[in-house]
Amino acid sequence: MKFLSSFKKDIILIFSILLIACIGILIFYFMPKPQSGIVKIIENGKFVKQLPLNEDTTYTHQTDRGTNTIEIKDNKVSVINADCKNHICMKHYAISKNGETIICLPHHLVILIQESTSSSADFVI
Amino acid sequence: MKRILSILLIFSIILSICGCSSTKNINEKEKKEYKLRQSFYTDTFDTFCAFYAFTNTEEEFNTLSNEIHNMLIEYHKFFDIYNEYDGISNIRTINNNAGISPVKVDKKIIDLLKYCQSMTKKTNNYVDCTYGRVMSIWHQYIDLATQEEDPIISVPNNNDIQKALQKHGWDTVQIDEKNSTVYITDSMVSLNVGSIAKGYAAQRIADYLKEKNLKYTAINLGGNVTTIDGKGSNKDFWKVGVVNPEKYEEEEYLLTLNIKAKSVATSGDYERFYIADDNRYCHIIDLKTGFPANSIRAVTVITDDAGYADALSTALFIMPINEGKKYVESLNNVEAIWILKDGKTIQSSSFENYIAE
Repeated sequence: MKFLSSFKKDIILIFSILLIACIGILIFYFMPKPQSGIVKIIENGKFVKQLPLNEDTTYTHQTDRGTNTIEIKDNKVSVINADCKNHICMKHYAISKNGETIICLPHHLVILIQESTSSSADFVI
Repeated sequence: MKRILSILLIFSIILSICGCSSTKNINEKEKKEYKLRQSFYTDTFDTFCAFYAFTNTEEEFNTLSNEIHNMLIEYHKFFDIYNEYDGISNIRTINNNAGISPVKVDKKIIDLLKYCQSMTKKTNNYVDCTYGRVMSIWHQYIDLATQEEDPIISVPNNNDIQKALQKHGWDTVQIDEKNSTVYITDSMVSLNVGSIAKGYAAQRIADYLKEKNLKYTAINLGGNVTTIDGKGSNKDFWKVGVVNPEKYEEEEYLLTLNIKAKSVATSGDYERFYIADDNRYCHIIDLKTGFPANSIRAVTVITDDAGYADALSTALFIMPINEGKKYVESLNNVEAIWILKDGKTIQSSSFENYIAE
């Protein structure tokens, strides 16, 4: 590349780097966010734990009142075990949409999905 | 060397620009961000409550939420018919002193009972809070049938039901506003405000929020939703999903409603019930027969006042559907949707205005 002056080589190099950097930034901003939501566990009205919705796992939450085991699978949450008196929480369908909840009233537990891009109602009655 | 240095310089400039913008976002998030915040209470009215409000800071929201929570706890204690609380005379106290003596109570209880009394006439006697005696029989049977250990599934004796059904009447309830006392003159009559109390309490909270000009708030108290204005300063609609009565199997909502400055209430047979001999016995009692209403699966009502919505949803759940439809059309500013046993739905004439696309 002897025919290009040294200065021109510098310019080409600088702009190539800038271009790569810009492409990198653009990819970063426009890449779809991998997160599909957060599962929040609220006990007695206080937020106590959160788990990502897109990672399959089971989690057992213990309180003075009792125990609930939740399962996160395929971006949905359900209660697979609980020692409350009527097991209403276990009968609930698996939730996946933003704002959906499963309640275990005897244990004062609320399982909530937030920051999910899937739309949902603000209230479900 | 110079070349390498200039390359390094450019890289560091690019990196710091990226870094700057993300730090800026974090700082802004921690300080002030006008957004929707939520809190959940599980210790009032034996049900779940969600409170939503738009505030600038987390701190503002927490202060407001605590205030609302405390107000709800107070209403819960005053309106409780199953428990008494130290130093508080509530509706259970009134019931326990039926045929004995007047009980001095807080004005909030007086106001509730007057409201309940007005609802009896307004709902053509389908909702009557003086039928506590027959309602408590069903409460017991539902509890026994749904308890985890050794559930007892049986149906009350019809004679017992009919006897209990006789014991009612606002004429037996003496409300003395001047002295703030309530006296049930007949020892066999008891008050059960379950069909109205939650909606009524939600409306009192809504009134308070309106008074303080706290718009863009909403509350769901055990299925009674009331909204103060729209969702945020853009005045969007709050989305209220009406659940499929088969909700523990299906996950789709039956439909979604656009709600702004309105109240919504649902009465259904799928929350507190038991099944005996292929019959479903739910917690909403038809006061004409003394047995749980059984003609539809659910009804959802939209109107302005949450207490009225609560009372109406109960009444419409019991009313035969043709009567219910005529009744709703005769009312101003009330719309409803009935969900029948076969899954079909019937809407009042302008209900579709509320359905979200």
